[in-house]
Amino acid sequence: MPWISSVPQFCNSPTMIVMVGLPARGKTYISKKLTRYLNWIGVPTKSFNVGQYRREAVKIYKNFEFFNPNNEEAMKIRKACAAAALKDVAAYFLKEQGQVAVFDATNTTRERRAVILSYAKEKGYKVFFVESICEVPEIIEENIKQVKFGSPDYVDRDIVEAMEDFSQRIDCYRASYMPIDDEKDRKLSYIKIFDVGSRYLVNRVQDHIQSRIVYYLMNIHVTPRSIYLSRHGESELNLSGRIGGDSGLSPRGQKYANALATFIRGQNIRELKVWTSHMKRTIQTAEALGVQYEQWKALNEIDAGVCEELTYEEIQENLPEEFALRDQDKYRYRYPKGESYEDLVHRLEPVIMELERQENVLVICHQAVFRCLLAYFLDKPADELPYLRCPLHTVLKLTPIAYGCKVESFFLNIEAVNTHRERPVNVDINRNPEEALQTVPDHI
Amino acid sequence: MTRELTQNRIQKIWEPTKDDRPAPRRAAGAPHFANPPTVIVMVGLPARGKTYMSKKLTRYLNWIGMPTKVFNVGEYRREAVKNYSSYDFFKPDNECAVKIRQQCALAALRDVTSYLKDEGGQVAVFDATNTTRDRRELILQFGSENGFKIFFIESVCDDPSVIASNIMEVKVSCPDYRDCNKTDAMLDFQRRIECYKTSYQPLDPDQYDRDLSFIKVIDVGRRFLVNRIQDHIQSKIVYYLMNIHVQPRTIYLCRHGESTDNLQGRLGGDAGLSPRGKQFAAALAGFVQEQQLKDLKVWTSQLCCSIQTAEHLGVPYEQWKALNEIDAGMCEEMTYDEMKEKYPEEFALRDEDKYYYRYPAGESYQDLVQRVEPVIMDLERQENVLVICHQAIMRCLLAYFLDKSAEEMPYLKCPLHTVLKLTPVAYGCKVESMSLNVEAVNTHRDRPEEVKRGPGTLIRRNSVTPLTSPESNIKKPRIDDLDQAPIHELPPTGASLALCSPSRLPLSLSQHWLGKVCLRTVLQYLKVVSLLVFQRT
Repeated sequence: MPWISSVPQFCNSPTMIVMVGLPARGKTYISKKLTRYLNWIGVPTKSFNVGQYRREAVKIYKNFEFFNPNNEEAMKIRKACAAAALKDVAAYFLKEQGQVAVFDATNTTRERRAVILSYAKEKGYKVFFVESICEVPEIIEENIKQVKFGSPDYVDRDIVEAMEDFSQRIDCYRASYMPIDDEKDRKLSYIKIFDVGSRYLVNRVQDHIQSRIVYYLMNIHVTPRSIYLSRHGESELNLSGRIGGDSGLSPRGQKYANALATFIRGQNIRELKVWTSHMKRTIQTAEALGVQYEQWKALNEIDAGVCEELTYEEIQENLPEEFALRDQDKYRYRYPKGESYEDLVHRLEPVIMELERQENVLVICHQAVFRCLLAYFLDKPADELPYLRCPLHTVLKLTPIAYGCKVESFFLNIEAVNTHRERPVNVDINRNPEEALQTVPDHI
Repeated sequence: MTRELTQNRIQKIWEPTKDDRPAPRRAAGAPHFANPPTVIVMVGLPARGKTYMSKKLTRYLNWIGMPTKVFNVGEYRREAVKNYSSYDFFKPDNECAVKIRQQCALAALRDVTSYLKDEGGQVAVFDATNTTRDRRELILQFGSENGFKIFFIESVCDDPSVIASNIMEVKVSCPDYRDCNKTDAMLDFQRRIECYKTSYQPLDPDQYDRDLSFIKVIDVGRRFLVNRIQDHIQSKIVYYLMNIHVQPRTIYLCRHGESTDNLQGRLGGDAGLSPRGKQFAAALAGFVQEQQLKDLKVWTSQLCCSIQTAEHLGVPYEQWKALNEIDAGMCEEMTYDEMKEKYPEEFALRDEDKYYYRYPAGESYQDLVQRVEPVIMDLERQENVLVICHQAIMRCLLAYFLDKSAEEMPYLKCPLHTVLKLTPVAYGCKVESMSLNVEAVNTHRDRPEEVKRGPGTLIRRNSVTPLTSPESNIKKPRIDDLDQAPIHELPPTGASLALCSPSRLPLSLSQHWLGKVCLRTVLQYLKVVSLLVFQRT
């Protein structure tokens, strides 16, 4: 069923993002992160890692000799894997309505890139190359430690042996590595990333999505840091089971704010930035920290439109059809004269972009906003997003690690109402009130 | 102990209660990311689009609320040397001219300091060729001494047709060439470029300049080299530069056809078109046909009246929620009279400061700018576009294209049933207003006379009031202490001195600008030169 999102969709021909670079240059890191971001903003994206195809084809990895360019048999297998991945890309675009495919492999020879370009041309796909160039030994070593030792290829190896083998693997590629050439390849669209973002060369950005990708890639970094997410302390309206509004903290909410201050101090965070919304309850929470904070209107809770300050019971009584429709598609459902989760995601995009730029940040926000941010960091799809659990008085600490995010949850031991409403079994508009209100949490 | 919070009456922002002092107006939408101040330094040969980029960037930054100003050294030079005679002025061995040009650069830098330190500016764009390492070193020193961040924007282009086109578009009509015909002007300007070429040292990302923060714009945006972005504002600047283009195109702005709510004088809502509104939509379809545009994109909001208008065009259109009318919150669907009656204080506050005023549980114009920014970014990428939106939104968009300040924005006239046709030209935008001859109500409310103005909304330290890109400083007296800079006596040989038209000795050099020392020197220079002139003829 076709639907219109709140922002025009800007992808007409599907786009292939083709990674380029020696091993351990962050290609898979970038592929996964970019895929996560694009999916979150609503562009269906999938990453195709040729190494995984190779692991499927050659069940056991012996050593770097597999990657020796003179190993003809291995070369055949590797070519076949690349071809298989390309076929899957075509299937993704055609049958799964994908819009962007990230082709994650070294793609270090002009020959291999020519194959991809002609494939794409034949099928009518746009191609955008992302090349990662780095010769800083510390960075490469750190990459290898973070992601290679844990890979299936090295799972039973001794670390020193693994490092040695991997270095020789890189050498196998080095001899035939032809970086994208600024002269010969001047008609191609690409971005070259040097030394993890210290410099970029951008050539021929063709369209909106490529422009967004470039902007995103230029804002991400790999400096270790943590992001703390928390909701405001329990509010007066929370207590009475009402949604939205702009009420202040309840006494327990105030206690939480103080506990949060103690917790944050205990974490000993270097140069922490604190962000709140424009709503009283988040600001009151931040005030207890006694540090500077910045207010973002974009962090305001979802606008419930005509349902602002109503309880779920009241919504069921006055707008039972709306209530059911929301349960049918909570991500896309827009409150009359209000917003949807989908709208929220677009509203939050500049916040995410700035979070990527920053280092240590504490974000004090609201339930729906929290869910959107969490879905971005933990790569949760749209149908799960509106049901993520984000209880009051609990801080989540997110630390990027390897290809993902470590999550630590800290409940600060101050009781609060539960505001989480699960999807009821019956979402039909003709259901009876008891069925509709089955999952409403308790309140005054 | 937690501080008490009060909600600021105009912006509806919760702030710790201050004792009596009115809370300073602060950034509503999003945090401010521009401390310390930044100096953007343009680099490049003449006719590479430096001033074009400077002005456009400044307009954009001011619109998003970052006080920015351009300092064009060429303008300082035109003040100092009232009459430009020929490209000889730019010859690298023209010692006197070199000195004057140096003084101009220093004067501009002094004004930059004053703007960033004393006038609440946050970004200064230093628009000059800055083609030598020495000159850039001077600027880096200057930045370091004053605690300013430096970001270079270099424009590199060797396509002769692009350069010729630039020269025709903005140089032949500039004050330097007011007495020349086009061909002569073109020729002189090209020779002027040659004067710079020999000493041009482009930014070198591999060695010499690898620790500097800069973007090289190559061939009008075909390629970019970005080095060491330091912060949020530099990242936004880079993103903006990568989205703008110079292809000729036209942007059409109009409001939806008259709606049934308009007829009743109601704010907001989501009503459909009135019969006259439908007439307008039909007329709009005819208008669009007549314009005979290649590939017109049509954008609407997600409100009924805007979409209904587009429907009449019979072409595909895209809906943007970001183009929805300003949310009047609790005042949605009221008439102004009802609002005045039900919320008299709010009504008065809105007139007091319409740009910052946020409707209770609604939005302000300032919020709108934030909301609409991605639309602007996309408009920059596009070519021919027709945007069918709403009154407040249209005012925001128009303020961006026409460089209008926050003060003016909420009062820009955007009547129903009128299409504004915007065509980029030279450094600005040509506007043509076309009424489609279908009657409609007037929804415009002028700023009431008797309203007492709030504390000056213009320049405030760390404010986010969009300003019209400020006028250049040239009119104000600047340097009183030029005596500090030593100026050597000129050698009497005048082999490479520029020619000045003898009938117009620059006695009009203002006494303010040049101390007596320099005036004497310049007069001596002119004496020598006029000798030369008479010798030659």
